[in-house]
Amino acid sequence: MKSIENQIDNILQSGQSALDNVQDKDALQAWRSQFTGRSSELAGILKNLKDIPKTDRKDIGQKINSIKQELEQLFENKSVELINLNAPKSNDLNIDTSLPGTYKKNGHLHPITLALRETLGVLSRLGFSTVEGPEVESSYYNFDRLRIPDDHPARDMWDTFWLQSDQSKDPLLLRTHTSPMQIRFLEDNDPPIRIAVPGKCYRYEATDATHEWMMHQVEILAIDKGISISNLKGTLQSFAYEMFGSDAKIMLRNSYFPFVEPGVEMAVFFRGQWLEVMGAGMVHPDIIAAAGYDPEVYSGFAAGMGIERIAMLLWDIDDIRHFYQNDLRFLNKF
Amino acid sequence: MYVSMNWIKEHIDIPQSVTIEEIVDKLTKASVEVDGVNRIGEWWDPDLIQVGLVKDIIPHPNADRLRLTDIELANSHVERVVCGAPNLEIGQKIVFAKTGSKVFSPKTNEYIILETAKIRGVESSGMVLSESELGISDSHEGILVLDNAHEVGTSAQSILADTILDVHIWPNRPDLMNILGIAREIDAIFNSQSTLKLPDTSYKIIQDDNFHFPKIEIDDYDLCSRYTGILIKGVTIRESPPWLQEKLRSAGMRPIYNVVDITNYVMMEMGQPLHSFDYDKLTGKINVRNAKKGEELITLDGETRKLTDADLVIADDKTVIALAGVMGGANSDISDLTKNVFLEAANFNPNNIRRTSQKFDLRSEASARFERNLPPYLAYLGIQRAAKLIQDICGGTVCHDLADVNNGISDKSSIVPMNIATVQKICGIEVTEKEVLEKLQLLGFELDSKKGKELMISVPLWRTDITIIDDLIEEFIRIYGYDAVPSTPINGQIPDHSLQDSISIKSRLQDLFVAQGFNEIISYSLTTIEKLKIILGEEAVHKNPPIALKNMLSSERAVLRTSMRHSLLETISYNINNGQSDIWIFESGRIYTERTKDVSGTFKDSPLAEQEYLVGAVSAKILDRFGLPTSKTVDFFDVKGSLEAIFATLKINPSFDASNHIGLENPVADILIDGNIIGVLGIVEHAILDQFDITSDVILFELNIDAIANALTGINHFDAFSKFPAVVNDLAVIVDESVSHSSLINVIQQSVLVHNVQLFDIYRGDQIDKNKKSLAYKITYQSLDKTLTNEAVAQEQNKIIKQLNKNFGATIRE
Repeated sequence: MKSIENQIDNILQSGQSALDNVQDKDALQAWRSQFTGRSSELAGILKNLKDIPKTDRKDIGQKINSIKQELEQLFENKSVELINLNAPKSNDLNIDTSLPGTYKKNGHLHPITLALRETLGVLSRLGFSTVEGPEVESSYYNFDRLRIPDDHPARDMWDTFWLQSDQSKDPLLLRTHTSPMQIRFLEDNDPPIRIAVPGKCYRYEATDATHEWMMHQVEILAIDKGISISNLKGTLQSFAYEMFGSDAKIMLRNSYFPFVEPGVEMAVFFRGQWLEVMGAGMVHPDIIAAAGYDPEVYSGFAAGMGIERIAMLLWDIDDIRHFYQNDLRFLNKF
Repeated sequence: MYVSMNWIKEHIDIPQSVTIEEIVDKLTKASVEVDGVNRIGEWWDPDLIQVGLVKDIIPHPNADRLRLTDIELANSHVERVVCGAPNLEIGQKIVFAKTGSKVFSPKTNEYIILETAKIRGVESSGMVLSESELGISDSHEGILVLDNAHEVGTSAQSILADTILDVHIWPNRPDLMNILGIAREIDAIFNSQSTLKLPDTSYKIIQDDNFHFPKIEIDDYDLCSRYTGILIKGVTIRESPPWLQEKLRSAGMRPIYNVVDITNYVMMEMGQPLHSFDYDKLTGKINVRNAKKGEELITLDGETRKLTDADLVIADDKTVIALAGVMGGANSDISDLTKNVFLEAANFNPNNIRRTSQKFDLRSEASARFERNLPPYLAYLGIQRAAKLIQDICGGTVCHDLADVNNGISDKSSIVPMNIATVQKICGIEVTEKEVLEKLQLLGFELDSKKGKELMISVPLWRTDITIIDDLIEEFIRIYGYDAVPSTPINGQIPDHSLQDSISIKSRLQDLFVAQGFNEIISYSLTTIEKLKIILGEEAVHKNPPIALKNMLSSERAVLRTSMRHSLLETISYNINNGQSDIWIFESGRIYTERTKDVSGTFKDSPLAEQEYLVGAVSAKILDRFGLPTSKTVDFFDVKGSLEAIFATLKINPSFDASNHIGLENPVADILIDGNIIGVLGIVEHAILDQFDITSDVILFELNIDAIANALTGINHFDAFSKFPAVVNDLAVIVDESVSHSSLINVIQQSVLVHNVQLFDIYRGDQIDKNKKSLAYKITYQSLDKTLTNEAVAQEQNKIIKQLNKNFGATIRE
């Protein structure tokens, strides 16, 4: 019994030492049939397994299998080694480690995706969950419910792509901002609410270095009991520190959007100057009331930012038109 | 709107210490956005650019269009220069630049230094300047004529220097669309406590019954809540005095002649639009009414406007004379022959004005103000101010009492209740009633009375935008200063929102595709119907037509995409043209179709079915160990390998079933999970590639992100692996070409002892029959509860062989 085990171990040892002399593929094939093939010593032992006492048969069988696997592994390793015939041996001191590694393909995420992820990541750490909404909207959600009636000059703040549709009462459009999702989310969810809404938006305006008709926005909405301007400022300040660095102070300035009151613009101090980054404000009490909540009890804030602008600031991109040209020379830089 | 700081300073006192930078900074923080600052006169040399007097004008000996003029300067020095300006007259005070002055050249659009020059044979040292040469405006049609009161030799800088702010006014603040309004804001922001100097409205009436005052009738007080009119006889129409012209120019308006300039001036000063009619062109009464169907009006811009009953007009007994609040009519316009003026200041319904001005695409300074909702009291004030100026400047006489037609307007302040607890809660600061009231009072709000804890705040007449407490909170906090509000985190309960699965799977997929060497692209959602027809075929586009835009920026962006294939091909084509050859791209985005029974879309109650897809395409060669292209093109199976690697990470195992798709040619496979199609992989037809100028092969795939999200089960429990040894056997079978690998593997895997099946060779050739292939598998047998004997394995393999033979006629290749 012991002698058989020794015999098996010896097979492995002699296989290992024989392998050192193998220099080419043919020799390797010969090695393989010598040590693991049908007429190999190992196969012979396996054939005569029935002669071994039953009590030992199982152990010996397992041992044969494991040695066979080990030999196969040696074969695989040697094959790989032989593929590069001129490869220096590992003990050669002249290996040029500056040679390139074996090439592996790698792709790149679009800079807008990178900026979106960073934005949503920060917001997620601040407790805002990501939800998405439709890009094709009705006038009702995009404007009317946000207190931007047709006859009001505030409409001029959003140049709109209108769609050909049968609904003349409530015409369809490409959403001009992610704000309609405020209304949609409020219809289905109770406070406390904290959401971030990323997505494409569209403006009917000519393209130049700083304007695109298609863009990405992230909308923030927080509604709860006792939410204040101080909370808005705190949230935006935390956001700015994470996005733009620990010295990125923020400033709120008076502004106007019909669906918030008060309305502000948020500027961040970045690379030595104040840069406008987003519009924000306290959710207008009409919107809270229309959703069925008492504005005396619930308050909230909303903010909206352009992701192209953030990406342009973060990576010093000079022309917004790079984003959707999809030039690989641009995309490969991110 | 352009705001002259000189003009502002006529109405308020700004402390000397306050710099323009501070004003810009604080205005932007607390009130209106300042988009630009133009410092007029900053660069003028005070010694070289000065006031001159036109002493004499004589013809140029060699040029018809040029003249020679003698200009008297300081110390009675006279300079003779060549001048081409048509408006030059003897006796005018003008701005003269001596040789060596820096001036702006509108021709070359840059600053130049004046040198002595010979102009058509006559030497000329210096220049009489236009506004554009001074950088005041872009007008260089004539020279700038100054008020005669200025002394010859005075530095131009000392009398003309000004700072013009370009301010952006929010749509809710009509009260800021004038100098007084901005002055009020600056006053409040700097807390300078100065009393606003209001314009003089004290005109005199000398009753003259020879002039019949037209009766004024308003048909609908909802559309016109107030109409004031005044009659001024005996005016002389001529150019406005220089000070008035200067003011209009500082506001970016072009002076025309006195009466019209005065109406514009009052609008810029106080915010009330006015309109002046030639009294002698009117017949009978003034009627504010809706237009009748078929009526037309030629407006002052010369366009004929076809009116409908939705348009509010001013009419006399004969005809329509003005489009109310938008633009006057040519038939009643002031001309240089006008002697008597009927002046209108009214208050029109903002919505109606906006509809009409939008319909005619006629956005005037007047309509821009009316549509923002002006207070009616302003009409009453504005008309008096204009009457006073016309009387003083145009030599006219107000010959009747002013008419003020309304339906009982009170001109009383509205009251908005406010309690301090709410102010504190919304702002998130501890603030006293006294502090809040102080800030509000700076803006003209007053405490009217108290009702319990409610403070009844009276709103200044000009603030039509203030209706609720939140409006008052904004007024308070913007003057208090957002900088003084502390930053605090939200400290409520963490919300419990159920999230959309597709969002996390989308970013997971993006990462996996990047790891497989794909570059992410983002392309436009709009395209053309022609492109969709190329990639999807006429019939498919006809059956599911894309949604078209009503208004488009370009014919290239006319419809919403129902596929993303064209974007992939356009991107490949664009990059090949730019010298790229290794193109692996993907995009995750939406396609947009009508909601139908078959297509539900991702978003609840969305108007269209918007479906999230991840699509990709490859046009590349296999790369060698250095990353250089080999001669082998990336094929169907290379891309399939990438997809399978991604699916394996996601723990899904879809099948790829041969299929047919328009636009794709063999091999094409539907990608299925549990019988549901989640995507497609195939080769793009060469006829289509031709249309995109692509000559290389393109492998393309489309994956429905929601379908993948639905198929994902995740790793819910851990399956223990076997502790018993595995036995690996090879099995090579010969089958007809029509028998697929997946059907063989399905049979093999039915055996409970089979742990894994791995294809390792495919053989076609001399050793087997034609139309046959040999597939060789390594089959791993393993049991969870015992060591398998060789006999058991051999028995199982025989069963498998029998089954393969029965199902597919497979034979064993020895």
